[in-house]
Amino acid sequence: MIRRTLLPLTLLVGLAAATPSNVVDTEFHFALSKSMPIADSSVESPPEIRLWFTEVPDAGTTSIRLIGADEQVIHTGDVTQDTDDRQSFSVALESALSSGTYKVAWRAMGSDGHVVRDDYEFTVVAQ
Amino acid sequence: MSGTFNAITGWLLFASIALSGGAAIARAVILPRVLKDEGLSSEWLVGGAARIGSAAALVLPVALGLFFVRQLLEFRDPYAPWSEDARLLLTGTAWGRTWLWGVAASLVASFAFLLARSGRQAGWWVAAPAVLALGAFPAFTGHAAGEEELRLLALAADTLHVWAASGWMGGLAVVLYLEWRWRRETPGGGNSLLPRLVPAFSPVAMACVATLVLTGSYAAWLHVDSFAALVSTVYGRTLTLKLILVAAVLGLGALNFRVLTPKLGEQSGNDALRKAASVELLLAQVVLFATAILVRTSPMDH
Repeated sequence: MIRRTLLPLTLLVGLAAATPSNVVDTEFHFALSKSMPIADSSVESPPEIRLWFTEVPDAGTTSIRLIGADEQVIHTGDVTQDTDDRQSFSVALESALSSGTYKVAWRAMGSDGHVVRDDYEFTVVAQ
Repeated sequence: MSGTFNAITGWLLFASIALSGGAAIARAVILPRVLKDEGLSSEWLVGGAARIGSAAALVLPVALGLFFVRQLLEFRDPYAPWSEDARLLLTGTAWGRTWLWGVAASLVASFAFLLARSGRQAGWWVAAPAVLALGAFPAFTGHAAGEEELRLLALAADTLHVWAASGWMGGLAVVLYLEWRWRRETPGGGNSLLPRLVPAFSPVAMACVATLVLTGSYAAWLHVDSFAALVSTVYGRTLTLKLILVAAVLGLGALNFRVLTPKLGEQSGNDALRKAASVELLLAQVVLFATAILVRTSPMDH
């Protein structure tokens, strides 16, 4: 009996140990398709940060944060969904950004509960 | 570590849904078919199923609580307060609303199974629809809910899949529990209830397995683009692993049915089937664990 139960238990422990920790974070069908400003680009201060997803996220789950070089969150307007293109979301900037590198950290959840998140950087150059 | 926590949380939820659902299915379909005599009453059999059902149903709210914690950890916006994220997840998303009715159903099921355990028939009438509703929970919080085409069919297939798994796995758990309890309570401990339980369980198990194969094949067709994707994507590889495990469990089930069931009634036959069925139930837990990983892995078909 002990030998018979050992096989399933060994399989269970092996499976638990082999469970990849990143399965939730990779290979998503629901993902970011493009962004404005484009990742790693150098631009003049943009009027807004805009993201496009491959599918329409679950309502209200999209978060877009703009972070300065000092890791402080820069205050922006609320996240708004484009009325014509429901896969597009943006936040308006309340003032022009000074020169420097900024990070955009975003998150959204698909209707199947999968959460996607990532961040990218862009640089603002003087006008 | 987070992957292991995700999988264990999923397994706990699936196992408690399967066991509580299996208890209700056993009460409705399997136990009425068991041949009774003076030493074996319907009340005793139904009481055993109620014990399994109530134990599993009491785990359900805990499992759902962990399920919420898992989702909140993934959903977390590090730049927003926890309470804001929790409120948004619960009340502002389809996932959260489904989770709330899942919790409500689990509380109703827990209470109803306790009623059934105390011998009140009304408990079963409340518990059965509550656990059947919970069988739809994985569909409404998983890949099926994300389908843009054939969404209703995908939701129905996934729900049927869970119900069938409950009938097979939960039904087997009830059979083994009744057998264990019977041997413990019968003087001498040499008698086995399996010759009466197994003929009642086998047709239900076969119907459940056929449903599992059909609905599982449909889900695979929906989520996997090609045979190559079975090895080229994380989802495909996890599905392949699950299929191998399922094949092992089905092989063992077939061995139990074709080779060991005819030997029931003999001491050695009873012992062999009891052991083989226990291993089958344990292996089924490994399948559930693989499923818990699978549902957190995104297919590449969109």
